[in-house]
Amino acid sequence: MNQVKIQRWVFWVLKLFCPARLYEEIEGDLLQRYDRDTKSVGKQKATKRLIWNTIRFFRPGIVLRNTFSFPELRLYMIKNYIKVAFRNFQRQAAFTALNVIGLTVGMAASLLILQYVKYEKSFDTFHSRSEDIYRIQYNVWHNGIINFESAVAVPAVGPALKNNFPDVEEFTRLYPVGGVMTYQSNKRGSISFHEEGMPFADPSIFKVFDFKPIKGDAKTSLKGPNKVMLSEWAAKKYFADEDPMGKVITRNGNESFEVTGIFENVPENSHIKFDLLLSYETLKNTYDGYETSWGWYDFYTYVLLKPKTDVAALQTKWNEFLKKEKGDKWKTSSQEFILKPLLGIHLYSNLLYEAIPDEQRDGDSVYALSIIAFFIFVIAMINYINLATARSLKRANEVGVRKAIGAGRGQLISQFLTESVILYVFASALALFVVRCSWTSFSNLSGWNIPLNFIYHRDFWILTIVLFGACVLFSGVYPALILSSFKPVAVLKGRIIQSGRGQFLRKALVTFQFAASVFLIIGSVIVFQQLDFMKSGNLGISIDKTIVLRGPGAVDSVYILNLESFKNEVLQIPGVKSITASTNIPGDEIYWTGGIRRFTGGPQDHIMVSHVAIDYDFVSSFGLNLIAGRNFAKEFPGDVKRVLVNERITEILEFENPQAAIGERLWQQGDTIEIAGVLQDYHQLSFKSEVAPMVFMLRPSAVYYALKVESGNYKSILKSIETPWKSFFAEAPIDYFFLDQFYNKQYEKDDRFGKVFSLFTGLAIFIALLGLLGLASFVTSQRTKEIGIRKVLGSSVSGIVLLLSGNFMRYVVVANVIAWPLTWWGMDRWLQTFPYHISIGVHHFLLSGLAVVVIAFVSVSSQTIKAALKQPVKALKYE
Amino acid sequence: MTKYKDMGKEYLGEFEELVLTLVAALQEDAYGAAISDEIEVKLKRDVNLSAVHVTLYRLEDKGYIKSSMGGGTKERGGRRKRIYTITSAGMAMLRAMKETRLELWKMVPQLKMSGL
Repeated sequence: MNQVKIQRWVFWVLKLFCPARLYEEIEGDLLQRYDRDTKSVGKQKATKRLIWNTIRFFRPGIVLRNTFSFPELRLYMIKNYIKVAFRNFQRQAAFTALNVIGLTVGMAASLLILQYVKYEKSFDTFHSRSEDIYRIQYNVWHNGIINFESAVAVPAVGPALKNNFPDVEEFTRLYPVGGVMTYQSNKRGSISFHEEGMPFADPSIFKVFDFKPIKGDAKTSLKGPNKVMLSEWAAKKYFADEDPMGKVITRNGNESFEVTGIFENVPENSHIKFDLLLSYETLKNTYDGYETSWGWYDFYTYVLLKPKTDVAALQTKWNEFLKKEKGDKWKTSSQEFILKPLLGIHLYSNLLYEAIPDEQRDGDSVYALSIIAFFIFVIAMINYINLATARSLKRANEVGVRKAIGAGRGQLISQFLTESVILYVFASALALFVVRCSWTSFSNLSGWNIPLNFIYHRDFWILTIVLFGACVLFSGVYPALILSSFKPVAVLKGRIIQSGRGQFLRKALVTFQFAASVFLIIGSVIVFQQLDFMKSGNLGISIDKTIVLRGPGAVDSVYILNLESFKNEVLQIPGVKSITASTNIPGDEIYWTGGIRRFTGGPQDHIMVSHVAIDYDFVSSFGLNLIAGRNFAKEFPGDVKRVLVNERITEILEFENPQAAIGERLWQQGDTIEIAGVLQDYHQLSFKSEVAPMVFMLRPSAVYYALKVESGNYKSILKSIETPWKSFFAEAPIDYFFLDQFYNKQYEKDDRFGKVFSLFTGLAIFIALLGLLGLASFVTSQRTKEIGIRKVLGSSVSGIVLLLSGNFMRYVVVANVIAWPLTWWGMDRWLQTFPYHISIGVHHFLLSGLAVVVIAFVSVSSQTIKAALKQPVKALKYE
Repeated sequence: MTKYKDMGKEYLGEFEELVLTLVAALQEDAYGAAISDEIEVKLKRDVNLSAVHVTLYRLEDKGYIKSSMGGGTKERGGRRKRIYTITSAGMAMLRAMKETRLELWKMVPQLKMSGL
């Protein structure tokens, strides 16, 4: 029947371009012709002629007679669709509200998260040559084991790279220091602030980076010693309305700097931030090796490479170069200088001495978050689909009637799409509003300080529109298809067939939502418990009721004389129990590291340890335990050559017990020292870190003064300190904080994480509930007749409720079963990142499983009770 | 003196005239395929079906003929025909054309017709 097929195909083509009202007669004529031709020239030829004739119909006279009135019709109908849509929203107000809320929440959450992700990925991208900038990572190895990986390198690296490798266009170094900066203003007196993180910077900083000088000259403002450039903000802070150019600022009372320029404030999304730039050459006044040292590591070193340089090849050549030049010097402790891309620092770098460690993010978490955002969004959309299709029953009559009076499938789809569009527009607008309003509170909650102007980027709008378009397309089309597929006759008779596949999708989704909720609930509980454990755990050192003052920093002979008198005066203040001076306090990362080795015995190599300079009062002030030996004491003047160590040191140095360490001698960077006492371990840093090996030396220091005070009268104590302070440290401002708050700042990140986590838990549960509610109401309405009959046959309300709810509990149970192993795996991994952590117990799973079951039951039964309470008569009349 | 309509811009092409004439001639059988057949047979001219159809539509647009759907036959697979009938305007046009033609032909000595 070849001919028949061809015919069909031919007419199918004809139908494409032929106007509808002319189609029948043309087809008929063609057939008539074909028939005549078959009789005269045979089938083959007739078919050929048929094809030819049909093709000939493709001419302007025919094709242009097609009515392109479609758009007109559509436009007109939309008015009707909108009207009907709003009527429906009013009639099914609860359902509409549910839908809109679900959508809004989903969209808002996704938008927030995506903005965050975009922001985090935007770090350091504002430099025009950001892709060619690399930072030198400094790795030190000891006998084949890596000792540390540091973000700061040595001064000699930059020049070595630039001078020997043509691919290196430029290098620049930043060596951040702190200090008290003072400006003597004629009108306003002495203006001083305690600053941290002021880099001594090479003038080439402006060649490598895009920091913009506003006043002064990029090439010369940092050339030469004792120059300083200020950010706009710093300029205002110190100089208010005065012109800063040419004025002098002093550091720590003795170093002077001339203001040679002002630069634009460093943007928030930079991995390194600063308000003052000090000229690099100033270092020649105080330190010799500031250009040539290979051992002094404190310098952030960045290199600018030629575009499209093969970095791996460069690294190899560089390594060989180092081997040749330094190989013999660096025998046992080998050193590596690795080029790491600038753009990877913020998200993926986790070295020692990062510029702003608190702002370092975990690249994987950021990506995980984008996945979460996607999920929340998908869940919200699928919820919409579910609710819409579940409610389609109520629209069935309308669809039936419309079809009966001639609506085409396409028109019905347009109608329901219009409804979706309206809902989505509304939800989007609401979502944007929510995002805008909650921005600041969300920023604070999560600590993700994203500046507000970031959302007003063009990208944000593009994102929103794309999101919106995707929503409407995916989630509007499916319900529209389902709704428009009802056969008029069946519908008007009251019989509707629901697709089996749709049912399964819905059930799968609800289960998934609940599994996610279970995971999040357990997760939240564990996170909070862990935080609590860490914060309330015994630190081994007393940090409460302690006021810490930042000292002036510089130690000279005058200072040493004054220190004791200063301390004595402060002790006179009522309420002050003790005062001790040290270079570190608990909660502060120790940068003063060095290698030590036992004279006899113990490991062969030098062990890296942290150093703290303390005074006689440190141990008693902080309530530390001596488990062997004795504290420093004035009776033993030789103590300046002695040290206290913590228990950890005795373990690392392989002493049998702490007792055995007493009197032992150690090498420390060329000096000989003797162990006088062993202190019990305490947590210098939070429970997030292992206890580090610490060596305590008896030296006067001017970094921190820790005052133990009696509770209550902090204000008066602080006031009373002013007098002795002013007399000893005239110019330095009093910068103080409470030790326990300072210490707990380490948990800030985790606190925030906990809060955000629970926020999203709440959201996920909420959305899951919405989904369940929708599903429950749908299924219940499906079974209305059944319920009516059961009641008539004598079933009680509770019996019906149990029956219906029982079905749903199945999903919840399955959800639990799925969620438990995943949760255990995930939370275990998280907990492992803490050296000290709680353990996951069975009760976690049981309790949250129970919680979810209860929540689900309550929401489902709200629907089933309503149905069960209906009078059977009404139920049986229900069509 | 016969009055004729002011033809002005409204004049028909040769093919249109042909089709219009046949519509008037074939009466109940005036539909696309039939007209096309007549042309092939009577005038021994190869004409494409689509050309005829298009001309019919144009004539209808101009108001000289009108159409309605007729019966279907087996040969047509049951599809109905569109039967055309000439309107009064169309008839007037035909008359006018006939008059004009005759006038012109009278001027040609070789075409002198007898008995007109």
